[in-house]
Amino acid sequence: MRAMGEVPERRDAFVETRTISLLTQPLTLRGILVYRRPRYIEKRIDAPHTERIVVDGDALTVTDGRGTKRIDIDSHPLIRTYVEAIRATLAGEVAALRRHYHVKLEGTPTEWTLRLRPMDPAAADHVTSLQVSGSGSRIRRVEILEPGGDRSVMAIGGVGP
Amino acid sequence: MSGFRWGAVIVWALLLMAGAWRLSGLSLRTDMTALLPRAAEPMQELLVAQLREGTAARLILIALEGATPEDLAERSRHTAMALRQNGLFTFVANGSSDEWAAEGAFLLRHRYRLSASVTPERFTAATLRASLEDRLRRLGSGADPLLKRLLPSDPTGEFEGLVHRFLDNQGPERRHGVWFSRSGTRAYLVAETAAPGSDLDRQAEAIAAIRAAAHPPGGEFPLRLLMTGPGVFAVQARSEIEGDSWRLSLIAGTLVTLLLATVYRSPIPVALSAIPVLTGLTLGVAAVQQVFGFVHGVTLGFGATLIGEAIDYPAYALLNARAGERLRDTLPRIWRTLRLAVLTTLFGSITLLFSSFGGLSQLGLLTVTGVGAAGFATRWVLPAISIRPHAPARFPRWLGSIIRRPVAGPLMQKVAWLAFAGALTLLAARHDRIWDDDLAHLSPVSAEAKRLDEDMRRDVGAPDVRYLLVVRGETQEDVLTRSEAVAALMEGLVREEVLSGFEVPSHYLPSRRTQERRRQALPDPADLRRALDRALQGLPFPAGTFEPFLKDIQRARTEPVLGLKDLDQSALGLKMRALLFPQGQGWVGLVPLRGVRSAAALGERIGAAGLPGVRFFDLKAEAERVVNDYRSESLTLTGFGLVGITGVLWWGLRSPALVVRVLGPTLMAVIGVILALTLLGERLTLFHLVALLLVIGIGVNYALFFHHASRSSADDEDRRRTGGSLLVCIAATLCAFGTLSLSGTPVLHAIGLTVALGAMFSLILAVVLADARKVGS
Repeated sequence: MRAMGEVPERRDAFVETRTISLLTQPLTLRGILVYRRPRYIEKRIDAPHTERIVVDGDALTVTDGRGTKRIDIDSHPLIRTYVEAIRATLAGEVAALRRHYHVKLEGTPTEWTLRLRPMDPAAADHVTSLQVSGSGSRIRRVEILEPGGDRSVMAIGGVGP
Repeated sequence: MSGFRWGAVIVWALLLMAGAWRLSGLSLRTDMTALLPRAAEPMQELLVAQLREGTAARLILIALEGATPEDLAERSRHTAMALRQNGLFTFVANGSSDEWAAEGAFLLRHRYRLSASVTPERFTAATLRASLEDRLRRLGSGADPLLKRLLPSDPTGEFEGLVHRFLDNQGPERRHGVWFSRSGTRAYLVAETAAPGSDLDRQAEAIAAIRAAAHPPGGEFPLRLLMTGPGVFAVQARSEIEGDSWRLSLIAGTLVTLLLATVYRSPIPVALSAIPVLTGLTLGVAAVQQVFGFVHGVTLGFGATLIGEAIDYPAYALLNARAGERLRDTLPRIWRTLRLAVLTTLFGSITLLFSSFGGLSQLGLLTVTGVGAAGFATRWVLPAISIRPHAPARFPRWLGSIIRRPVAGPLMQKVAWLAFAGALTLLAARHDRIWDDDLAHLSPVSAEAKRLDEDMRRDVGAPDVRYLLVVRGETQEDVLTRSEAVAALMEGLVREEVLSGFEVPSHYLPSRRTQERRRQALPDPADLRRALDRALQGLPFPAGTFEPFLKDIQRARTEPVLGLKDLDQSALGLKMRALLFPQGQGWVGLVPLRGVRSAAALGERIGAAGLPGVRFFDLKAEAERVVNDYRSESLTLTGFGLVGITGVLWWGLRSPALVVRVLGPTLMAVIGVILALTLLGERLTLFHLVALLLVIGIGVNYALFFHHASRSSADDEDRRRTGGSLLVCIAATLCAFGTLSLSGTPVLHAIGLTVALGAMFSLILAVVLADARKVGS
């Protein structure tokens, strides 16, 4: 984990599969994840539609076909939980993680898994748990479980630059 | 004679008891609007009603600061929840979506009546397809936690649109889910009280509830609570005026008592001096309560001015007593002069009774009753109860010689006349900067509190207290139809950034015609199902997902149109009643505006649109106009008062030359006071004007007493006594009004400063100018 804090910038392709009970088949999103130390994270969706979600400090902006919207990150517990988990993990800030989650770290420095359960009841309404796993200073996979069985699996890296 | 004397005492005692009984039921009010009249013009009446109890007058802005943002957000949520439950507020907002729990249910239930995007095209296969694809995309990005829950019943997003209009387009930034200032150090809440802004007892109750709700139990962390709004100001002002009045009256009373005790060196004359003052105050205030049903704080402040006047009467009587003379012998000797002093004040104020400005007629009644009662007590009660002569006060020998041969020579008189001419010129040059037209300046709100209010209002985006649109019509439906036209116009103006937001009654209750049109836009079940099936082809939604949508549309097609009473299921009902109400023969709708950037442009565009029954108001300008009207009226009344004073003096002195001699120095003193106040940077308000009327009363007293002493039949001892009584009177006036001028309450400060300066100038001019006339005659 500590090794992660030393990475200044990182750019990785991702594939996210969202399984939603409301839909007959999972949704698959492709795009690029950009991280810049210490507080910048961008999720750029390229397919099936284009959308850019940028978190820079406290500011969250969502840019889609209709324009850019600034959103209060704290009034969207789902995004907040998600963003904070990835950001803090990337920044190697275990303390920040412990503020928002019950944290459990398993495995070895080369093959690790971080299990997070949100403490905030409002966030727990939307997110049951997060599981972030990686090897060395790379995050390989993020899995999010939502109440009601919906779930999202994001595979990072190894899918091109 | 003795029977008559005791009769007077009995009448006095009975009146005093009746007065005291009336005072026990005293109802004190301090909101400035209580002083405004019941105007004849309906628009003005509406304006006054709005100032008094409109939505803007019922808003309380709340800020929490001094803790970590997380703690502040937590307190904000807790406070909002507590306030929503206690029934004192019609509406509490803190930026979180909880506040829409009740309203949300209403909006969701009636979304097909309220949403402006309900048109026939909305439900064609092509549009449905586009809506569904959009929603599918957003499900993917996961940015919207509510979407999943609402999608089956509202795939076209009508509810979302409504919430967006009500919630997202207003208010400051959100952090940790609630409203925060840009700097992130203050959490904001907005509460609308159920009680009108003028009901101070219930406003105070609401404020106490906010205080109780906001402070964390057991003080877990430090927290500063800031509140602002018309109700908060009024409650604060009431306690400040009450506190100020008591504190200053106590100080002034102590000073005057000390002064009198020093002069008389005996407690009995001091006690006797208090009798006319107390009689005048009791009967004056009781008369106001009896006639008006309430006493305004400002009127009570003027009660102090009564002290200034009434303390002079017994002082003059007691100090003019010759050695070994009883009051019952002194009074007939000096009564002619004293009577004139009482009558001039009485006639000077009697015209105020006819003012349409409630405040002025209260003052008129207080003065006329109070001064009359004080005069009566001095003339008939004091001699009856003070049986033995009092040891005469001793004054130094030089006092007599000042009056016989004033130190002021011809040189001083020339200086006085020159100064007077200079004052007139200066005043003429600054005539446009003399008056203060701002109604707010009559109110006792401190500049600091006003600044905080402006800051918070800007941050929160609360409705502007200054600008307002009014929509009138014969029926409720008329007003709603017109307010829909207003909404269309205003939406354009918001896009052009002429203002940042607005609210119209038709947002909450569209006109019947519009509702009917929307209902007809809803397709019949078979058509809708067909269109939906086509739209869903190839999309990954399981069969039957949108059954709730089909059911809701079907229900909306058969439901009757919404009426005012349907809104009562939620807090929207109360909100609506503040925005839409019957008045006279017709109905009125209000359109509160937010963040007006250019009032001129707004007024112009609204005028150019030519919407019938719609009028744009600048409440501040309107209020200024009202204040202006009252000022002109007061000036006229003051003029008549002056005529009354002149008439009484003529009747009493029987010589035009003497009238000029008595009135001249006083009027010059008034000019001097106006100049002095202007130079001190004060703008003259109605209260200054009325205080000036009092200056005339007091000044005329001095001039009369002075004239009485300088008459040829007086001996040196008489002159010395008159000189002494004048000195005591002016010292008492300075004690009372000098103290008042230290008040932080603008009204009390204005009265105090004006009268203190006026009394001083009057005395100086009476002394300086008296000799000139004697030499001349």
